[in-house]
Amino acid sequence: MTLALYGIVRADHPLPAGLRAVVLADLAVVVSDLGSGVELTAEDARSHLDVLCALMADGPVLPLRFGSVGPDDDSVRDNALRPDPEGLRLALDRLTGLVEARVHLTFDETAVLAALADARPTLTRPVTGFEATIEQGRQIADQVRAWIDQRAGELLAGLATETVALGESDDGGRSWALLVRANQLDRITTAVEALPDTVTARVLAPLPPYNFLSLRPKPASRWGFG
Amino acid sequence: MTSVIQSPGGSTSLADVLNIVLDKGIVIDAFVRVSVIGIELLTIEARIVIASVDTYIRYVEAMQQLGALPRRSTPALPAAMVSPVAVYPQQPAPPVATT
Repeated sequence: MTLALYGIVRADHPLPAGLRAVVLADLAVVVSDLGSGVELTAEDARSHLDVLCALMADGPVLPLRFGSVGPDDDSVRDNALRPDPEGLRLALDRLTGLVEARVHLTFDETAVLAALADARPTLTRPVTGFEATIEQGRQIADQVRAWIDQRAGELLAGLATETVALGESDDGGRSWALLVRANQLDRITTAVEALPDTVTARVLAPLPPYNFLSLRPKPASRWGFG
Repeated sequence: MTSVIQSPGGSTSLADVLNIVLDKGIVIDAFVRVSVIGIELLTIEARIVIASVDTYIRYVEAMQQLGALPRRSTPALPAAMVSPVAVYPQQPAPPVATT
C-alpha cells in the first residue's frame, strides 16, 4: 500500500470523502490510499490542489510537496509529524485565518519604457553591434524590472502581512504571492479595481500558503526508507 | 484595467495549477517523490533564454525610438538596430556604465 500525502493539519480538521488522517496527538497528515505503480500526471496536480483548497476552508493546512508518497501510516507519522511537532503547531497557529493570493500584474510596456526614458536618458542612446545591443537591452530590462518592483510595491503595499516576489511569466508580467487574511480578500479586489489603465491584474485566491512555509521538519531517521 | 479575484478550481488553467503546485510545499526527505510525467521543464527554461534576448532587442529599439522622438518627427533607427544579427561578430563596443 502506498499513501499519497497532501498536507499537515490539526487532528480535529474535518476531512472530505476519500481522504483519511494519520494522527499523532493533535496533528495529522492528510493522506489517500494509492495502488502500486504510481504515476502522476498534470491532472493529478490539479486534484492535489483541489484537495488542499477544500481543506483550507476548515482551517490551516501546511501543504506537502506534490508527488510525495509514503509507504504506510507508521512511516508517515514518524517522518512527517514526530520530528518537530512543536514547529508544526507553531506554523499552523501562525497561518490560521490566512491564505495565499497570487497577484499577477502586467504593466503596459510602452508606458514603463516611456517613464524610464524620462528618468534615465542614457538608456535611449544609440548603440551599435550585437553585443552592445544585448548589453544595453539587459540594462534596460534590469531597469524595467526594478521600476515594476517599485511600482508593484506601492500598489500592493498594505494588502498583505507578507509578500514574496515570484517569477516573470512569458507575457512579461510579474507575480507576487501575498499572505492575506481570508476574510480580507476583498481588500485586494478594491486595490485591483483602483489600478490605473496601464496595469492589468489577475488574482488567484484563496490558495494554500505555499510561499509562506518557513518550516522544514527534519526526519528523525531515514532507516528503512532507502 | 481590472479583473475580479479568481478562485482556484476547474477554470484554473493547468499552467497556473502546475505553477502553484510543482516544487513547492514541505519536503520530507524520507519520502519518495514520484515524478510527474509529461512536463518538460527543460524546454521551458530554454524558451525563457531565447525570449529574454528577444525582449532585450525589443527594449533597445523602443528606447531608441523614444530617445529620437524629441528631435525627429519620424523615429529612425540606426541600421545596426534594424537587424542587429547582421553585424555579428561584434564591433568593439564601449562598456555601458551602470548606476
